[in-house]
This record gives sequence, structure tokens and C-alpha cells, in this order.
Amino acid sequence: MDSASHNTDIKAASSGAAFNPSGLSLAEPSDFFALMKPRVMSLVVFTAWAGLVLAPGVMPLWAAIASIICIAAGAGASGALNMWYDADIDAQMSRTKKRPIPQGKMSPRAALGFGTVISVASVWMLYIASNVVAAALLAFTIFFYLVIYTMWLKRSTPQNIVIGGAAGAFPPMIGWAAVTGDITVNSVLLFMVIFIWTPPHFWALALYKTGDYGKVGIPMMPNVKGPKSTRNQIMAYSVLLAVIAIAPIFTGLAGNLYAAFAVLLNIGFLALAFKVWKSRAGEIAESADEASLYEVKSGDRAARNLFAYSIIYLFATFGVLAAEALLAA
Amino acid sequence: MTEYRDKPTEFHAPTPAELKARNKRNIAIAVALAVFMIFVFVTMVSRGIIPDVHSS
Repeated sequence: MDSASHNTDIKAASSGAAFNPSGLSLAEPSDFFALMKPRVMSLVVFTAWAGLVLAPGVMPLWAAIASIICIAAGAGASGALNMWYDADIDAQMSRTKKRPIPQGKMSPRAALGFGTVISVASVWMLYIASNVVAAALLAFTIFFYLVIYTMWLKRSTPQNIVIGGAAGAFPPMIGWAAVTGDITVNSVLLFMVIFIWTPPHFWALALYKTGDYGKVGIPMMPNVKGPKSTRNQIMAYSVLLAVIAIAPIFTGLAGNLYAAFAVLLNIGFLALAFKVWKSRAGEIAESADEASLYEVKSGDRAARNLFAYSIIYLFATFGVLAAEALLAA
Repeated sequence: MTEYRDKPTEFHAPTPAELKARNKRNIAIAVALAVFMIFVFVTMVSRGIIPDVHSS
């Protein structure tokens, strides 16, 4: 989709004519909360908390709570800004057409204002609650997600989620920086775990949602390079993820408890990735229920299982890392 | 009688659903602002930016 037609769509959606004659919208507070992508926010909160727990040093309890709230708000703000920019394609995709803007409950302009205000407030408050490094990282994350990923990469390259995945990988690094005020090998390692986890996670979903992305012209890997190439790359990234995930044992970030869990979790990940690699996932016309994240036809089941497991994997990896640090403390 | 420079030609009365949604938004904004002010204050006190007079 070219930028001119995108701008026209945004203008059409945000003009008064697209909404109620009185000029009042039907958006309720819950719709603004939905703009913040609460499911993504929960993962952000959890990984940011893990970064905060794993970082050497101590932080006053309230400052720690405030920092996590700010990181969550920043992530939510970037979600709102993403929905503002992607309003045109969200309306056409079964997975996203029930979002507040495509449903006509609010204008894209309202989402833009909401996202901008929350972005500024969250960055400023994180600076007050922690330090300038953490605040700068949060500001960069919002910029990266909106400009680099949403505006640029998402619609132009099948590598969109590989590079764009960095935005989702920053929260533990921000949590770490909130405590220490710096960036270290171990905080980069936490970043790398999510960064390398992102491609197999999203491509597993894309394999059974190929049609959805394809009809709005988003160049996801299965649409551009084909399902076979995507399955190969999922396998390659899964092997790389296993290597990265055990690295904390050697840098002193994690101990024996994590080592045991990491081996089990990565065996599970590799086994499911192998099943995807051997399957014909992505080669079936369309999934069983377009609106559902998990309903699939039998040929896509391996991809669906990997997608579901990958979420548990990330929670478990950071959960065990944090639990071990807390036990040691 | 009031005179308008640009005389309105058409009025659209808001529906009850629109008024209810606006009311909910107003309350949410008020609560959010109050929470935010408390949040800023407590954070500044905890960081020592605003001195806590009771602790000294």
C-alpha cells in the first residue's frame, strides 16, 4: 500500500463525516485501554520486572513499581500509535478488525493524541522514577516501534518482524537500566533472548494467518519467500535461540536452576520447531476460524502449537531467571 | 437575541449512547489526572526530589 493512499484512508477515517453527526464518539475508557494492547503490555510488564530483579543493585520499592508502570504505559502508548497508523489495514484483517478504530468507535486522531500524551508522560515519569538512561531507552523503544517498525519496515520488507522485534526486546533492558543506569553484556543478553525469539514466534502465527496478512499487502515471510523458506528460517532461529538462551549460565547471570529449566524449555521449543519444519504448515488456503488466534486446520497445527508454546516459553524463561535471582537474594 | 458570525444551519442532538460514553470518558479523565498527580508526587518524594518533611 503506497503512502498517499494510506494518508487518504487515515484522513477519511478521521474526518467528521466518518463519525456521528453530533461530533461525539462512542468510545468508552475500555476502548482506550484496548488501544494499549493489554496482552502485549502484560509481556512487557513481566520482562521489565525480570530485568529489574536481575539487575545488580537495589532500588526503592516505590521507584521500582513506578518504573514498571512507566515502561508498561510507554509500551501501551506505542500500541496506540501503532493502531493510529495502521487503522487502514486493521479494518481489513480478521484478527484486527474489532479494534476500536476499525469499529468506528473513535477516530485515528483520538488514538494519535492519546498515544502521544501517554508516550511523553511515561518517558518523563521514568526519568523522574529512575534515571536518564532508562528514560532514553524507553523513548527510543517508542520511536523504534512507531517509526522504524510500523511506518517503515512493516509494509516494506519480510524482515519486518526480525528487525522490528527489537522494540519488544527492550523492556528487560529498560528494567535493568532503571536499577543500574547502564547497559551491560547481561542486559544485552536479555534483549537478545526476546530479539531472537520473535521471528519463530511471529512466523509460526504468520504461517497459519498467511491470507490475512496477504490481503492487506503486508510482506510477511510466508507471503514473500513462501512457507517452506519460512519453516526453514523458523528452525534456524530456534537453534540460535537455544544457544542464546543458555548463554546466561556462562556469563554469571543464571545458575543451575535456570540451566535445568533452560535445557528442558529449549528441547521443547526445538522439538515443536522441528515438527513445523517437517510439516506443510502455511500451504493450506486459509485457517479454520479467521478471527481466532488458535483455531487452525490440521495441516497448520504444528505452527499453532509452536506459536502457543513460544508464549509460555518466554514467560517461563524470564520467570525462572527472576525466581532464581530472588531465591539467591 | 444572539447573533452568529457564521450562522449554524444544522444542529445534531447527541444520542443518549453518545452522552453516556462522553460521561464515562469525562470521569475516566478526571480519575486518571488525579491518579497521575498522586503518582508524580509520591515518586518525587520517594526519589528525594521533593523533601519528605515528616522523615527529617
